[in-house]
Amino acid sequence: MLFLLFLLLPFAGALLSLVLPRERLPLSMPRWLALGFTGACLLLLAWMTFGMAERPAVFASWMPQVGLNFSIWLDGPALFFAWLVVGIAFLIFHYSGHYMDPNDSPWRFYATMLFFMGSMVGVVVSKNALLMFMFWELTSISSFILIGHWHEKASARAGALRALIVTASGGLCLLAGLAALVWMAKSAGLDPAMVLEWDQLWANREVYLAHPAAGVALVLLLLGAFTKSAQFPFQFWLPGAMEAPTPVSAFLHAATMVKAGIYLLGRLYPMYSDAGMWLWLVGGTGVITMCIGGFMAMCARDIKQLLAHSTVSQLGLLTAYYGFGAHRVGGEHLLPLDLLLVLSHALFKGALFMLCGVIDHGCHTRDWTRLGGLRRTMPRTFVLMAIGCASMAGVPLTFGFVAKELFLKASLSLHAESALLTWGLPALAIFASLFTVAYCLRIVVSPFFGAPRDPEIHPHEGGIGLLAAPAIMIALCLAAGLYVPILEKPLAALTNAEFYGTHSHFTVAFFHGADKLLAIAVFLFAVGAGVFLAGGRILKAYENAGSPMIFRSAYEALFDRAIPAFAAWLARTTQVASLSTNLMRTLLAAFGLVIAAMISSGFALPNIDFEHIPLVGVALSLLMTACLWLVATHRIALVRLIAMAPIGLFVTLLFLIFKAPDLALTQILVEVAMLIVLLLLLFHLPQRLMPPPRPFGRFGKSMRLILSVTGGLLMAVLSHAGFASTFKNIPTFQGEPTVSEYYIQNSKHARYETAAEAEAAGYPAFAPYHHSGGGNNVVNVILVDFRGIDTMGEVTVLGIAGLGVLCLFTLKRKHVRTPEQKAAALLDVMRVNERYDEGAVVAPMPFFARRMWPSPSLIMSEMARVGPPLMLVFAVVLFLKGHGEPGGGFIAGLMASAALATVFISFRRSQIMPMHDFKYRSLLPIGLVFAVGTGLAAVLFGQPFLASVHGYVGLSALGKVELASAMVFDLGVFLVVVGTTLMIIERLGRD
Amino acid sequence: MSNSVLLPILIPLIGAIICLFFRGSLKVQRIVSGAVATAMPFVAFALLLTVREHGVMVLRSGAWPGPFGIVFALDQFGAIMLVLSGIVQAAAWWFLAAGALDRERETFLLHPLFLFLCTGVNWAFSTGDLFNLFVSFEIILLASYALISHGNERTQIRESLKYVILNLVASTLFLVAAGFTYGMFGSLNLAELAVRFAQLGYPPETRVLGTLFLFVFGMKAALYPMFYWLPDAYPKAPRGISAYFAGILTKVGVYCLYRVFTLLFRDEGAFASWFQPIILAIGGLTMIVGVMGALSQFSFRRILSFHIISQIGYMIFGLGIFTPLAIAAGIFYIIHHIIVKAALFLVGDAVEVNEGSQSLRKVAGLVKLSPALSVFFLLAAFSLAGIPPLSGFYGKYGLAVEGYVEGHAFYVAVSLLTSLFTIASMAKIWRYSFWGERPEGAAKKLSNTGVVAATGGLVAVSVVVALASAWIMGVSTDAANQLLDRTEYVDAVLGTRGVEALQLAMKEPVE
Repeated sequence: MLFLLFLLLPFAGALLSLVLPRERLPLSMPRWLALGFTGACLLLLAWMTFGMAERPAVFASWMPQVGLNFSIWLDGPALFFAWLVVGIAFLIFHYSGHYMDPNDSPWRFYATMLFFMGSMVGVVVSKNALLMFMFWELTSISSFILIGHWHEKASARAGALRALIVTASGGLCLLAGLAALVWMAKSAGLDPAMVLEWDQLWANREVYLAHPAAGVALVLLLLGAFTKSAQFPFQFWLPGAMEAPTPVSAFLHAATMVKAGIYLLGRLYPMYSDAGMWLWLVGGTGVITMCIGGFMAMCARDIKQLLAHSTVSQLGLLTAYYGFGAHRVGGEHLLPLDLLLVLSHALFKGALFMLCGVIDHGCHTRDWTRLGGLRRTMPRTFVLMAIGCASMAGVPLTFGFVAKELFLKASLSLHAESALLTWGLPALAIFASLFTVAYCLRIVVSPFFGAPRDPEIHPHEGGIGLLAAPAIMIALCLAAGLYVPILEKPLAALTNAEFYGTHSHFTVAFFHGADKLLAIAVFLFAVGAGVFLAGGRILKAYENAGSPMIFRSAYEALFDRAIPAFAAWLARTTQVASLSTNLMRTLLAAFGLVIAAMISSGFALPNIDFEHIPLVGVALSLLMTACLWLVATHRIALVRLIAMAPIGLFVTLLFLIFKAPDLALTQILVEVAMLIVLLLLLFHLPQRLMPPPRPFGRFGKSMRLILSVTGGLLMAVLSHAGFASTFKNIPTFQGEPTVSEYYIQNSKHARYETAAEAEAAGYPAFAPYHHSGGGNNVVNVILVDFRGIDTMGEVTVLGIAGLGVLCLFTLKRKHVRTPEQKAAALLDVMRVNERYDEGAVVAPMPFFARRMWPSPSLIMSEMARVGPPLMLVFAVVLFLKGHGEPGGGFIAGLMASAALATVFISFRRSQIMPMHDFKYRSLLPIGLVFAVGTGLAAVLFGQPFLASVHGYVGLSALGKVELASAMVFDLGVFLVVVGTTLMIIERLGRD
Repeated sequence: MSNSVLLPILIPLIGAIICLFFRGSLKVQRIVSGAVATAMPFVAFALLLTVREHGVMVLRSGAWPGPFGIVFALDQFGAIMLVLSGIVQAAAWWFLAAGALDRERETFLLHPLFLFLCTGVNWAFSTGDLFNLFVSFEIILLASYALISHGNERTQIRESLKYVILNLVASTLFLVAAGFTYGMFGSLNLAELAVRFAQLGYPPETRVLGTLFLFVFGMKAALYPMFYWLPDAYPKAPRGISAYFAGILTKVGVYCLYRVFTLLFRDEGAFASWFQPIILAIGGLTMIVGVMGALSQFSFRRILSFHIISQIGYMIFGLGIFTPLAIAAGIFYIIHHIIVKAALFLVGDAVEVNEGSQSLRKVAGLVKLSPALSVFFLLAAFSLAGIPPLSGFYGKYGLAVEGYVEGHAFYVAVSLLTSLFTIASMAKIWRYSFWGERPEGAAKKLSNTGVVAATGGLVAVSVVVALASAWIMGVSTDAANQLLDRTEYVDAVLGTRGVEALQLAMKEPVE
């Protein structure tokens, strides 16, 4: 529990900093909060280290299918890194209180810093590799936000983004690697639940080494480590991250976060140290990074940049150490002392960054070419800086010396198969170390010795608050250098004893006698000093060459230019504004896919029985095609509209020929309603519609023709195949009817009082089903009963359509006042083939009529006195008889609407004022209430939704009429149809 | 029989009808719509728990037996989708009620149209009948069209016109496909079709049908290459409701794809040789093209709209892998995506409400304006990008593992690359609009904190998804298993004779 608390405390602190009412609290509050939480973490950690008999661990299963567990532990390295992170965090928070401007968004700053600290602790205490990855990504995110702390600066934003992209790419590689490990474990038959625990990964290393994709997985995992720790070729993000405030740089980008990659190498080492690639991949990358970092440090004017490059170089050294560690030194395992190197670097580099901040604070510049003689004005800073650099350079009596010696020893003991590696890697490492000596001298000598170079700089020493934290770290460097066991002993105890078997007994002495190591040390210091002296020339040559930053430029070329350009091109080509192009693509995709499916599946084209094709049908089809041709090609809107009219009529005829009276009735009435709506719309439409642009260049027209013909043929084939199919006649369950049989039997069944009567008449009631629709007209029974809920949906659709029309015509349109503006707006809308932000002003087009209500013709108005009442009566008949004969609510509704609409267009507004004032809009919800209410009524009686009841009622004039509850439903349908149609017609006419 | 299956359809439908009676009163409409929006997540969650406990729930509307009437069948996957629909609806309502739109516009039919939209969506998630599904698609299409054009800006009308035309084409093809299905196999009941297809040994016609459905639902889901209608249309939806568009609407298409490919087209040979390569390729292309499109945009909503497309690719990837774990990961991803994408749209809308624009070029320095909104954005954005431990990670990782196991390493790489670009484009929004100097004359304080609070509510849900990821993964796994093992569904709709027929057919298909 304490362990969990330890992990969660920093996050709790961050959350608290976010939610506290910041306006009412002092600006120093967030720092004290941060210090308090970190202090509490330190106490907990101390208790867990010294006060508990056993190292704590927490385990909870999370997603066992994919190897994710919430399992944390405190093994040696975890304990070491936890101390490192929390300890340095405490010092940094102390330091930043004196460094940061108190007004500089302290809440955000400390909240993010605490969040980072928590994530970093999470990385190191995770026992599950995937859990580690989770915290790993959080460190990337918090680093992104912290680098961009001064986000008003463009360079800070860019640097933050670069760091994020590089580390996130690496993170994804790491994720891919971890997923690959789960895959390998699964294919080896291991249960995935536990495989990603570190100890399990080590125990099963043969599985991962033997898998054919072992190399790929290793590379992916290493990419994660390398990006995080700024290894070649990703080292460029780290100098860019120096836009962050100095406490951030010291904490994240020197002491802790960049060590996450190194930490990961330490965790992977036991798994992969036997892999052949390990040495040259890890060791090679390390020494190359050392060289690049070292060289670039010599080319920097800004001390902070210099330190950043030196960090890159030192991280290279740590990486190389792990690479070399693969090859044991005379049976003695050097690697257990890896933590010593890490600690050494964290101590001096963290301190140096903070001291660099002190210089910045005191001189308001970090450019060493402008600084000089600070030895006198900033003596304390100078002393600390000198010791820190000595440690970095590996001068005896400092902790850095011990680390350096270990590294050199490891590199000199290499025995690879290839001589190139055996000699080349150490040679490069030693070469890079020359730069280390040189830039250490640079930091100490250039700003602190000599005479002041810039009279405008008035340096002043930093206060005790600024110097305390670095002083403590430097003191540790010195103490551990003077008496090595202070740190070596506890570190040795923390090494991964479980894996390495025995503890290392490598003891460090200052003088081993005149051996190879001494010679190299002397060589390094002598030649390094020479490099330092030549440093001015190196810098000049670099700047004369235009200060090239090859890797960063490559990154920018890729991420800032190539990818955005490609993205823009892709968006332009796939995301065109033209409706006709989009339609073409849609149909191409549809037809292409379906045809491919037909070919690949061996779909047999149906045999067409030419003899039995009714000639009338053929003739009608040809006529329709001719009309469609006009609709598709003619330029004048009116002609297109006129050409559309007969198509509906022909369809009606087709329905009649094929004996579907209900459909024919519906179709013709829909045509009538459509006609009235179109007539009203004509008032709004300009005469000429824009000719559509030609997609697919000049092949446009033929392409469209081909597409249409293909589509038509395809539909023909599909519908004929459906028609000719025999599958539908085979019932799914033997002895049960097919759907159509069932409908016929069960809607008619109602005619007979009992099941026996029905059976006698040849309509056997199937045992399980003794329910019936109660109507003779199967179509209507299907509509209102069998599939009543479909109808309920469809009338809803109709209603929504009507509401949509209301919205389109009623909501206030800006800029649209006069008819000319209206015409312009309409045309603008019709230019659907262009991108909307290129909308140009369009000249008004001539209207058919500007006034919405033209004076109606006499004939029309006289006719309208007789026709509509008759039609209304007919509508009532259609409605009442609908359940048994052709008709029903939908048809009746259309008929009634047609009647009323005729009245509308035949009279002046003043003549039919009451009709205009009637609230058609409320018919729609009332109709829906009927439709839905019928369904709900059944629910009230404990029946399923829409279950119907029925009986007969004698109405003398109309004969025996059957009343079913479905008729109430039908009434709803009727009302919705009438309400919606009239709502639309009235609205269109009113404008 | 259980009428409660219809609750998620009837509650918003009745709400919409009531609103239609009070067209002039924003107050009544808000109260009714709010009551529905508040009830929906709970009702849906109760249904999910019931389905988990008692198995697939079935309602035979009109009391017609088996395959003859219209059957509503709610399984775990459908119930999950209903919960999500309810949650996003509730968030959108809170956002609207906080005053995201001007009064005149909000009063004019906005609430009933939104409720109709929810009706249609919930309908699609619970129906067990192919034509009935088509009806629900019509409701969705008409309501969404009316909402996209609601407000009558010129660009709205133009883009909504394209939207409705392209979608009508898809609907027409859906109708053709449904007609073809009925003409061919004599049934529209999904469970019966599942049995019939198996009985007939998956004749070539099923492959043609499946392809047609892949196209139709793919178009609705905005898959490559049929996605172009989305990025221009979705940004035009009214503020607040846009979250429902972004979160839920395209997922109706995804839901249908999951449904038909797990229930109907289970011919292993055809799947391996035809559907799987197509689905995987389409999934991969959708991911990449979508994310690339997002990179090239400079407005919140357009960036986010393109990301919808790319993330649909992930979901399809899960379907393409077609193992229990992959489907489970896909469902988890859908859950995460709906919440987070809706939340991000709300962030964009909240920015627009307060700043008057969603353009990255016009809005800057939001960190200073509202730390709360910034944190909400960060949480949602990095969740969208799949950064752990936020909710986007689990599905992504699950798909990666299953992708490897099933030998689709290439698509795993594509998915991870997409994830990288998602991070990049989220960081881009952050960099342009949240960082930087506040523009001159920009407000110092939020003018509408209510919308930010509503946004925060939805972000909080996404955090809960992450915290409860173990449980939600369990629910997704159960849902995936139920999808893949069809017997429970078939049993609920057709009874034991259906299961027996299915099992018999899977053993020895009738030639």
